[in-house]
Amino acid sequence: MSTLIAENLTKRYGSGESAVSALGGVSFEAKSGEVVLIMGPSGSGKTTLLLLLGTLLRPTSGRVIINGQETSKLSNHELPRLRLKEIGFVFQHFNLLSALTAEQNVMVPLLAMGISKSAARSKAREFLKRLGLEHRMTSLPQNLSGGEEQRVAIARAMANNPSIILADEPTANLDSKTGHEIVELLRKGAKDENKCVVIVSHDPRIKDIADRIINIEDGRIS
Amino acid sequence: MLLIALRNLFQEKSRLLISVGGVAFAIILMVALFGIYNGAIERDVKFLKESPSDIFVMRKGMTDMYHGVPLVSLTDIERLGQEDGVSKVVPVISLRPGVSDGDTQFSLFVTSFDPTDLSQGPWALTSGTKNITDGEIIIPGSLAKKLGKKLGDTIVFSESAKVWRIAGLVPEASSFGNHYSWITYHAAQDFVEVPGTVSFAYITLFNPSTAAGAAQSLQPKYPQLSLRGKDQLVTEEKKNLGDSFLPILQAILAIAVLIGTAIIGLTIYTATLDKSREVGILKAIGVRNSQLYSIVLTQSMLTTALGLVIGIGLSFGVGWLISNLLDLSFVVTDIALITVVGLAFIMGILASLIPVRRLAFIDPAEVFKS
Repeated sequence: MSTLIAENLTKRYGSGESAVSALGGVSFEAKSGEVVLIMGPSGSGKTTLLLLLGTLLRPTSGRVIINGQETSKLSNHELPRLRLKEIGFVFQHFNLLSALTAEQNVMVPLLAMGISKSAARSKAREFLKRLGLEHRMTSLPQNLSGGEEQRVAIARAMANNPSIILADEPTANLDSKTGHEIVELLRKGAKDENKCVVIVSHDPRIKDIADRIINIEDGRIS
Repeated sequence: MLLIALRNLFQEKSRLLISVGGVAFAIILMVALFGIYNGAIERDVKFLKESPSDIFVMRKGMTDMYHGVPLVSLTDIERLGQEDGVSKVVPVISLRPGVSDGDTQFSLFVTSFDPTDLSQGPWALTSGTKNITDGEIIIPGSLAKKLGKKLGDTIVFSESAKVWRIAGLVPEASSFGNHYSWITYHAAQDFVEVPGTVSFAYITLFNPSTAAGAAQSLQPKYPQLSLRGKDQLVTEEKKNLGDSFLPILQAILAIAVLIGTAIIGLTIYTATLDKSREVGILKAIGVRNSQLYSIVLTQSMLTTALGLVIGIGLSFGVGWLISNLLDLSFVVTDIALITVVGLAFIMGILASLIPVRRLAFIDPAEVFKS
């Protein structure tokens, strides 16, 4: 069974004559252990697609199904719980919380799940160690390199053991070598931990890590 | 989520300092108001409390010794002295003479006492003597300071042109326009308009703890008089003053609470605005709104608590300055402190409401925009 199903997704912003269509009828499926790369130029609708898959936007029509659960049927109170449990986000700008150390950033989703502080800390340490950041646990984001920040972000995304990782341009702010290391980590996560990884990017250098590439243009799969 | 609240709060120390300072300022304002208010009331009843009396005797219809025409007959005083349980009855003549000193005009509340009876007269003096003679007067030290007078200088009663030599200075004896002063009973008799009467009298009992009951049982025998136990009179006087000044205090307290609320509210609000993106990240990750609200509330409460501790600490310093520089009494009661703590926490909760509202409207999708 597919972990993630996008079924005829459309998204229109605004209404009437001024309405803009960002996405028009996109459908695809992704399975556990699979890395799907969604590629397309700026303005093609790939970020809108990622927001819809991540339940941060509601589609104008169509459905997103995560582990058999239709997300459009969930209320605004239920969606955060689903995201916390099933989806890990990796952002283009890393988006770590500036006041928290690397370790504390990874602890955030665990604490939000209601895990005790000591258990969250030990789990965060384990993830950071796995990603080669054992020497950076108490560092604030401002003292980390771009690659280190993104690795902390990956650790945070994986902390709650979600079934889906959604990454938005994860290599955009990194040099070529570091960018490749990052996508390799995501691929490793997909393969070793059986996660469904969806990466949105326009970076052709990372094509080789994808199991499947979906090209999107003007809001449609091309 | 306490972790995020704490780290966010202490990340920007200058903002925290301003916020805590603002709360502390509001707390100082509130504690100072309560301290001055309670101090003024305590000082006002000091004359009653320190009087050598278990029961006060006044003419019927009078509620205190400061207003109306005081006429108590010496015959009644003599009779009261014969009653069971009564140890002593002291007749007191009081007057309210106007005094002019250069451009300054004021009035005194003068009561008489017998200097040979050490239990009578003012409380402990700061300087001078209680053993005064007929031409001498004991006045409040603060009044003497205001007039630039010292022991041995004179003051003149305007109407009678009677000159008095200052023989003693008494502390904490000015309150609400009453400058408590003392002259001898003998000298005060010159001012008695109705012969055979005095203004009021003090009764001391063999057993002071029975004052309320004794006043009640004696009252029917003396329908032309009003007899009140000391505690009753002190309570009534406090209530009268409280009723007069409480609305003013409440209004100023409301202003203090508003200032504190505005300062904490603005600080937490700007902090929330600054952290909008991070709040969006938390929302995207799946942190619930209720958890985000708890972060804001925790920050607000911690700011309030810090301001409260610092504010209460500094309030006692301010109280010391008020007592020593302004000749005002400063009394902070437990009830006042509990009220301030309660108001502070209401302040903290109110201050978190606007930022919480703001949080609800932060769109997590914004995080994905550059």
